[in-house]
Amino acid sequence: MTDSSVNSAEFKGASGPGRRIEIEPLTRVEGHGKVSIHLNGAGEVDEARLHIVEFRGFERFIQGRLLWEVPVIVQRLCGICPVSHHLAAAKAMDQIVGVDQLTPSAEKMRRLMHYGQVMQSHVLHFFHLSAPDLLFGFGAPSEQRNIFAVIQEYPELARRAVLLRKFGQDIIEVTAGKKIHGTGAIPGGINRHLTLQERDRLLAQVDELTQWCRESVRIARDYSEQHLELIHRFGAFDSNYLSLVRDDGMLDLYHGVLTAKDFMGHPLFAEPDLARFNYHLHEEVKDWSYMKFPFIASIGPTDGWYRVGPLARLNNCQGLTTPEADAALTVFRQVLGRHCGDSLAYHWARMIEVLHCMEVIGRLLQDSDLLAGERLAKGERREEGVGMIEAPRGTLIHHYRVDEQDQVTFCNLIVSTTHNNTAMNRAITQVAKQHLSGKPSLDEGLLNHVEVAVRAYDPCLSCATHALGQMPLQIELVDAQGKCLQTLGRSAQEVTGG
Amino acid sequence: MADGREALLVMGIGNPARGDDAVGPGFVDALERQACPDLLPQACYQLVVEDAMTLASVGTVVFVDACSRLSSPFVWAPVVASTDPRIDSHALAPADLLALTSLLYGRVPQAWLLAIRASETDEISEGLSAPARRALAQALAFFRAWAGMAGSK
Repeated sequence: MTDSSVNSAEFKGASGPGRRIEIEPLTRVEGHGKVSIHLNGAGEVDEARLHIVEFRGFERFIQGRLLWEVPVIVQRLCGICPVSHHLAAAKAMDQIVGVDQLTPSAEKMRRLMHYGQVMQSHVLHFFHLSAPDLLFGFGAPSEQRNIFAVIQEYPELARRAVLLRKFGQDIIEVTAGKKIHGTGAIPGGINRHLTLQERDRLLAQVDELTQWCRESVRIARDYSEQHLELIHRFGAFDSNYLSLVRDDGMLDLYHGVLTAKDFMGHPLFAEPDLARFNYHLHEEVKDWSYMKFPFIASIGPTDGWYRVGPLARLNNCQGLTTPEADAALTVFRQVLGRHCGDSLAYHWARMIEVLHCMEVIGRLLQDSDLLAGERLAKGERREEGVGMIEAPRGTLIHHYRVDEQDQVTFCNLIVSTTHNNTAMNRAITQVAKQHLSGKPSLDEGLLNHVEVAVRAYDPCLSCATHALGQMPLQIELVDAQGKCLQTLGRSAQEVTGG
Repeated sequence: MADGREALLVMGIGNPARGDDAVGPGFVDALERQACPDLLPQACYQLVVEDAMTLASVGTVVFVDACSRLSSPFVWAPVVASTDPRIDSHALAPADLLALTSLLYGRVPQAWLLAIRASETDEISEGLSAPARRALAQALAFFRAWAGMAGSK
C-alpha cells in the first residue's frame, strides 16, 4: 500500500457550489477504507465520512458447518486477530455443548492465549503504526512518518517491539498448537496443556519483557503529558462506552458482564446474561457505508452510539487486577480525567493494557493448572450460544444456532471495529473542521491529521485476503447528483519479484 | 539443522478461506508432507514484522503467494530489499520485510518470489480452482527441482 491518494472534485451540492476531498486508502489501518470530506462553498468542512467496504458473507459460509470445526474456521475471517475469533467462537460453542464453567486448566490456557494476543496486537499498533505520527508529528513529511524512520532514530525501541510481538506469537503457538489455524480452544475446553519446557521458555523472558512494557507505558505517558492541549481537542468528545467488566467491576479481557456507561460513568446497563446482548444493542444502516452503526437500544440511534476498545475498557472498569498496570491507570486518570473522551488517549490506554497483559501472563505462567488438569467439561446440549470477548479493538460478539445434527443454522458476528463506527466518523469530522476548514491548499500532511484520528481506534477493516498484483484501490469522484466524474486506480504491476 | 543460516525458509502466504488465495498455504502443505531437513515450510496469512527475526536466521527465503495477474502458471524471480520501504498495515510486502530485516538485524537472506497464478481470490470459499491446482502442481515441480528435491512427491 502506498501513500494515500488525494483527490478533489468540484461539485454543486444542494446548498450551492462545494468541493469534496477523498482520501483513499487509509494508511496504517487494517484493510481498505476511504474518507470523503465535504466542503461547502465557503471552503468550510460540512462533514467527513469514513466509508468501509465491510467483509460480508462469512456468516453464510459458516452455516452448515459442524460445531466442532467452527472455532478453527472462523480464524480465517481475519489475519489480524484470528485468536479473538477462535476464542469468541469457542465460548459460543461452550454454550451450545452446555458448559457454563470451564475447568481451571481450560480457562487459564485460554486466558494465556488471549492476553498474549492482545499484548502483541497493541504493541504492533503503537510502535509500528502509530509511532511515526507520535514521534515525528502528524504533519511531518510522509517519508519521515514511517516505521523505518523510527527504526533509524530509535533502533533499540524497534527491536524490543519486535521481540514483544514475537513473545505474544510464541504464546499463541504453544496455547493454540499452531501460529495460525490454531486448535487449542474446543467446545467445552481445550485440547492441550503447556509442556514444562514451553512454560519455562516463556517464563524466562517475562521479567525483561515486563520492564520493556513499563517503559512503553512511560513513552505513552510522556507523549500525553507533553501534548495535553492537542489530546484534549483532537478528536475529543463525550460518548457512551461499552465493554465487558468483571462482576466486581475490575477489567477482564476474557469474560464479564456486558456493561455500558455514559460519558460521566453513570451505568446504562449491566447485562450478565451475554445471550441477551441484542436486547440492549441494535444496529442502524446508512446508505453511504457498508458498515452498520450500532447503538444502545434504550437511548436510540441518535444519542445511543458508543465507543469500545482500550479507552472504553479503562473508563468502564473500577481498576485493574495487576498492581503496576493499576498504578498506571491511576496516573492516567489523574492526567486525563476519570472519564476520558479523547481519541488520542487510546494510545496510552493501549500501553497500560500491554503492561496489564504482561503482568497477567507472568502470573498465569506460574500456575500449575497450565501443565496438568482436566481439559474438558460437559453439560446439557443447547441450541443457541453467544460468545463474547474483549478483543484488542473492543467487544467481539459471536452468536450461533446449531441443530441436532451439530450443524450451524445461524451465525451473526459483530466485530469490534463496527462498534466504533459512529465514533470514528465523529472524530474525523471534528478533526477535519479544525485542521482543514478554510485552508487555501490541502497537502498530504494536513490530510494525515484525519487519518491519525481514525488510526487512534486501530480499526481492522481487513478481510484477510490479498494476492500479488491485485488492484486494491479505486477512487471515484462523484458529483452531487451521483454522477461519477472520474475513476482512478493504482496501476497494477507485473510481478518481477522486486 | 546444523546452522540456521543454511536453512531454506518457504513462506506460503494466503487465506485458505479465500479460494485461490490458498495456493501459498497449499504449497506449504505439500512440502510438509515430505521430510527435508534443511527446509522450513511455514504458512501464514500475511508477512508481519516479527518475521524479520526469522528471516535474519536463515540463508534463503522463498515467498510463495497467489497472483491474479499472471499470464504464465507461475513466476520465479529474485526479491531485493526495498529502497523505499513502507509499512502501512499489519501486513508487509516481501521487499519491505527484507528492508526491515536488514535495518533491524544487519543482514538479509537470499530471497525469491514464487508467484502462482490464481483467479478466484475475492469470494469466500474453500478449495482451489482447477487452473490454480494445475499452476500449483507446476510450481511445486519447479521448486523441487530447484531445491534439489527431484523425485520427491
